[in-house]
Formats: sequence, C-alpha cells, structure tokens
Amino acid sequence: MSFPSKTLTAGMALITAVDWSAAYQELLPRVFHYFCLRTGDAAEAEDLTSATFERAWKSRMRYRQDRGGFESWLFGIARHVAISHFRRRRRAESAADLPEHSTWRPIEEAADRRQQFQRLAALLDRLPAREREIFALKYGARFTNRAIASSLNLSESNIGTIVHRVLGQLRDQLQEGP
Amino acid sequence: MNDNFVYRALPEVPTDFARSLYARIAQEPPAPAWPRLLRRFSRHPQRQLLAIALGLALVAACTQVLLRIRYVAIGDLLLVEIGRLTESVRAGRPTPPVPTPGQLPHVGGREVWEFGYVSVGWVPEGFSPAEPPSEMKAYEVTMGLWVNGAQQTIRLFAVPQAGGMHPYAPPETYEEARVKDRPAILIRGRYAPTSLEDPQAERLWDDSQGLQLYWSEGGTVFGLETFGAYVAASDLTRMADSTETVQEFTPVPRSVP
Repeated sequence: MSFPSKTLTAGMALITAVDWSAAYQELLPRVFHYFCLRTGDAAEAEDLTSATFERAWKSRMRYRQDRGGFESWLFGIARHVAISHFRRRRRAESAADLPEHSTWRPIEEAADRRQQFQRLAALLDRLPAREREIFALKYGARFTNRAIASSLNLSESNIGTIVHRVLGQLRDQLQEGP
Repeated sequence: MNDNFVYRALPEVPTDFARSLYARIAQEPPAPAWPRLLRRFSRHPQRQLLAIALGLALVAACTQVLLRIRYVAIGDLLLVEIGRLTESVRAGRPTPPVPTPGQLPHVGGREVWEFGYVSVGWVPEGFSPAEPPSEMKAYEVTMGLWVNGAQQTIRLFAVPQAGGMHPYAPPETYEEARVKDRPAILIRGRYAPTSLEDPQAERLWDDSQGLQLYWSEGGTVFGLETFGAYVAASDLTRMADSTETVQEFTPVPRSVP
C-alpha cells in the first residue's frame, strides 16, 4: 500500500525531518495493532487509529523534533486516545450496567487469522491493565523493552520479565485450546 | 521465546480504511502553532518578562494612538493634548450655567495649600472682588474671585507645580501666550455635559465655555479662568500680568479643622 507523498508532505514544512507519508505507511499498522491488542476489537481499533492520526495531523505544528522521535510523539497521542476511550467505555458500561469486559463480536465465516485474534483478545481481556498495555506496546506498537520502560517509568528488566511471562501464559493457553 | 503466534494473530490493516483515513486527514488544516510558542516562553522566564514588557508597551502605544494623547511642553508647563474622543459641543446643545461665587465648591478635604498673598493690579471693567470660598478642587486653591453685575465670574487659582497637575485640551483649542514675558498656555473652552438633566451625560469639549490661562511662578502653577465669552483673551492676559506675589511662599500642606 502506498500513498501520494505530496498530499501530506505539503503541510509539513515545519517538520522537515518527518516524511509524513512514510511515517503514515510505517506507523499506521503499528498503531492499529496497538489498539487491536488494547481493545481486542478490530473495529474499535480502526476508530481509535483514526482518532490518533487525525489528532496528530491537526497538531503536527506542535511536534517538537528536539524532544523525541516522531514515533514516540505519535504513540504518546495514541496512549492518550486509548486512556480517553477506556474512560468513556467504563462510564458507558457503568451507566448501562454492562459486563465488565466487552466481548469479541462473533463473526460468521471468520478467517483463521480472525479466529486466532479472537482467542488472543479473549485471553488479553483477562490480563491486568498494566500488563496488557505493555504487551500492546511490545507487539502492537513494536516498541523495544527500553522504549516501553522509558514511557512507563519501569526498569527495562522489569519489562522483559513481564513480557516473557505474559507471552508464555498466552502461548500455553492458546495451545490448550478454548 | 517464539512470539510469531502473536504476529500471526494480528489482523491486517484494512486497505480501504487506510486509504480513506489518509484522504481524510490530508484535508484537515493544522492547529495553530500558538501553544508551541507559549510552551517555549514558559521555559524561559526572561522571555516571559520581555514578552510582558513588550505587551504593555504595545497596549500603552495603542492607548496613546487611540486617545491621541501627547504631552506638549510650553515653557516649563506641560499640556496634555487629548484628541479624538473630544468633539466640541456646538450650537444647539445645552450649555451649563455659569457658576456664581456661591456655587463654587467649598472645602471638602482636611487640608489646603497655604500660599502667600497674590495681589492683582488690574481687572476687566465691571468686575469687582468677591469673597472667594475656601475651597479645594482637585488640589486647586482659589486665590481670588471677581464678579460683575451679570454674576459672571473670573477665578484665580493656584496648584503646586510639583503635584503633576497638567492642563489638558484638544488640539487647536490652546495656544501659547505670554504672561510676565514668560510662556503661558491659553485654552479656549472646557469639558461640558451634553445634558443638564442627566448627571451621567457625556461630557464633550465646548469652545464657548470661556478661557483658561495658565502660567507658572515660583513652583506654583497659576490659573485664571472664565466660564463664558465675557472676557477677552487679551484682558485675561493683562490681568495675569498684573498679579504680584506679595511674599515668598512655598506650598505647604496645612490642616483644616
């Protein structure tokens, strides 16, 4: 998938170091997967990905190159979007007296990939919020352990331990079957 | 540890979603860069101070431009020239009554300025001295009052020059005059209310409301004023020329019981 670079780079005069088209192409899947792992719902992930990129694009003049990479800046926005989303969802669930976790919508004629993701999402729902966030940053946003540690104010070894443990649990549970 | 199963499970980004999002955000205008600028200022106190100082200077300059205020030095007197907001009251508009000695304000404060005695050697024909009230009007002290048969008045007053009180007038309503061979200020008219019934009515400059003549002497600004067109400017100047300070005096606050 490629995008016409002129369309977006025209508005990026102040962010000379950022090729927006290239950044979009590289970061869109990572942001989308981050939200997939956070929410367990591809449709929700699309909405949140849209919100993230729209917010980033609108405030692109405020991006400060000297204060970190574009990737960190974009995922900072993504995390804020996620926090707002979960806050809203908690409020809505509380008001409507819904179950604590949203469930993955059954999809008829689901492909294997979707079924796998469905199962993975159901397992992720059982994780504590902090571990799920770390897992999403690791496998969705594809952050290094160091980058995750830096953004969550935890030690790198701590992140490594958590990732290792969660990954092992998920793999075992997936192998066990539903 | 093998983590391929996670990547294999992740859904692909829907192509139509990626394209439509790209097309949508390309049309969005950026938010203004002000917050970034403000953040930059917030990290540098010196820049903040500079910005505040520049802002104040700009506000002051704008005020001066809007009100068209400027100081005009005439001799050792300063006149505040005020502009656009002061249109003259012309014919057909109500004019305030000429104050009589009894209508002049009396002492309202606890202090008056003690001046020496000022004698006046000449007054226009028909005017005779009246008892001036001991009054204080914005630091002014009435030194003498003259009234004619039509109850028209001439008032002599004084104000310490160091007090910073300056006469004010719109352009073309004042001119430089000479009193005792020194520069003086002659002003034609004064502010007058546009309605006599409404005390809150707008006050506009009225050229027909008499003359004001200011000159300085011994650290004191003296003023002679009339309240209508019954004394010529040359007569007022002559009257000012005839004043004489009988004793040396320095404005000193004095308590009034």
